Amino acid sequence: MHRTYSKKTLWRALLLGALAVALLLLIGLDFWSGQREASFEKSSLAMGTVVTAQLYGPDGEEAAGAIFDALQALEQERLSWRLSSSDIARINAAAGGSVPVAPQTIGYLQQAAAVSQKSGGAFDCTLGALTQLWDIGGENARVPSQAEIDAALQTVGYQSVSLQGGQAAVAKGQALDLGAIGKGIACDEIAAMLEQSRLSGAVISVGGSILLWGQRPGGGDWKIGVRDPRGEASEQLGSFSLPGGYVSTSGNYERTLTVNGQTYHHILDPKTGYPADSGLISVTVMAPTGLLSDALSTACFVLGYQDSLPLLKEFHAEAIFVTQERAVFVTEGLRQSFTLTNGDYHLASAG
Amino acid sequence: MKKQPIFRRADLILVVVCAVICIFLFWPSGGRTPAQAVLYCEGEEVGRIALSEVDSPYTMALGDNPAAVVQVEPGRIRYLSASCPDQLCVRAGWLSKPGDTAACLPARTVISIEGVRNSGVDVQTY
Repeated sequence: MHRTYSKKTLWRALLLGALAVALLLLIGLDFWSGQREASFEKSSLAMGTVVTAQLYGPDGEEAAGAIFDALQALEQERLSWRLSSSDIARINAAAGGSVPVAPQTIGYLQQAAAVSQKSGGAFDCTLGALTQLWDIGGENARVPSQAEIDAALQTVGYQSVSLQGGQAAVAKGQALDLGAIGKGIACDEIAAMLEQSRLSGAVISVGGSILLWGQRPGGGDWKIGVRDPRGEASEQLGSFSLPGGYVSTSGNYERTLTVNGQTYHHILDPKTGYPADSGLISVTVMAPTGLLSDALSTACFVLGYQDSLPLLKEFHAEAIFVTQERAVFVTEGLRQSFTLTNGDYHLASAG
Repeated sequence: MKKQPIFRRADLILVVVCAVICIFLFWPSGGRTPAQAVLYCEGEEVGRIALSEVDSPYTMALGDNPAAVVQVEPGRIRYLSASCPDQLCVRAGWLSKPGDTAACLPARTVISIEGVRNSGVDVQTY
């Protein structure tokens, strides 16, 4: 039997249906924008720098607590050259002899040695004596004499690091300093922890070295801003997008020492013993691991634009170079997603 | 015969309920946390300032070894002065957007702007 509806009833049903759909859309939109808000966010100091964790998904607060605890343990047990309890400090204290260290520390040093070798020594984690001499950013920062620099340079050389049978050793007088890769190692360790968590996505900044992990709330790629090397800390040069991964930047603006009107930055050239002077003011590197992105950004800063290109290719990495003339060079893999937003700079091509 | 209206009283009640839900969801201060400056000392949160609610500038102390003075203005905050040797915290300048962060490492203090990232990027590398 057919039931017939009046025109008014149909209009009512249509209008109420439209209202219900509109409400559902609005609730959906609100849910989506709510997902853009980190379920938990925390900033603190760890490993001598500012660490910020934006965590999306359930159990954010617990995950943040575990992350900051892990960073403290990483510093105390493995990486710090200042804390006598760490593997690196024990290796330095035993210079000339070998000491047993954690397998993870052996792994870090092996990867560091690979970058040192491929970069022709532009990155070298045996710079300890030289960095302690300058102490840029520290309490005893000063410009050393040429004789002091020459003496410290005698101790530099990644080839002298020995890693055998769970033991590590450096040559007499030599000192390891993993400051150039510590933040990247931290990103790698945090990524391994996040894999075990219930989080859906996370953005971690360890002193400006970035880990982009999982799904971006709201979909799409993560968007990364690059600091304006000549501006204030919050000012941007431009931005680019990535589905995930690791990003590090080395710049001449972060830690400096000014003496008699001359400014010295903290990225030392292992060949000269002085702050690197390759014509760059900043290099941002995207690489398959945090350690690599950190090590490569330092190596590229020392090498300069042209000499960095084969190294980046070797490690499947991409980069954004900023020169003293405010020219911005972007390697092929990032060219499409990079947007220059700061009018004080101009995009350049290799030519 | 009395003419029936298209909407009955129950329909109107439904519309009003829907409108109330919408207002609750989308009212600017309802449920959404506005950008806040979060102040940390020795890893512990010691204060939160809703920068959009600041009416007039003021200064305040943060940390004591070495001490720093923080300046707060409508919509922004910065380390105004500090007795640390490197002055990195002061050189960081004004912080106003979610994600902006400055720290005084010797005093172990941090100022971080937290909230939804509206600046177009999720994070900044430096």
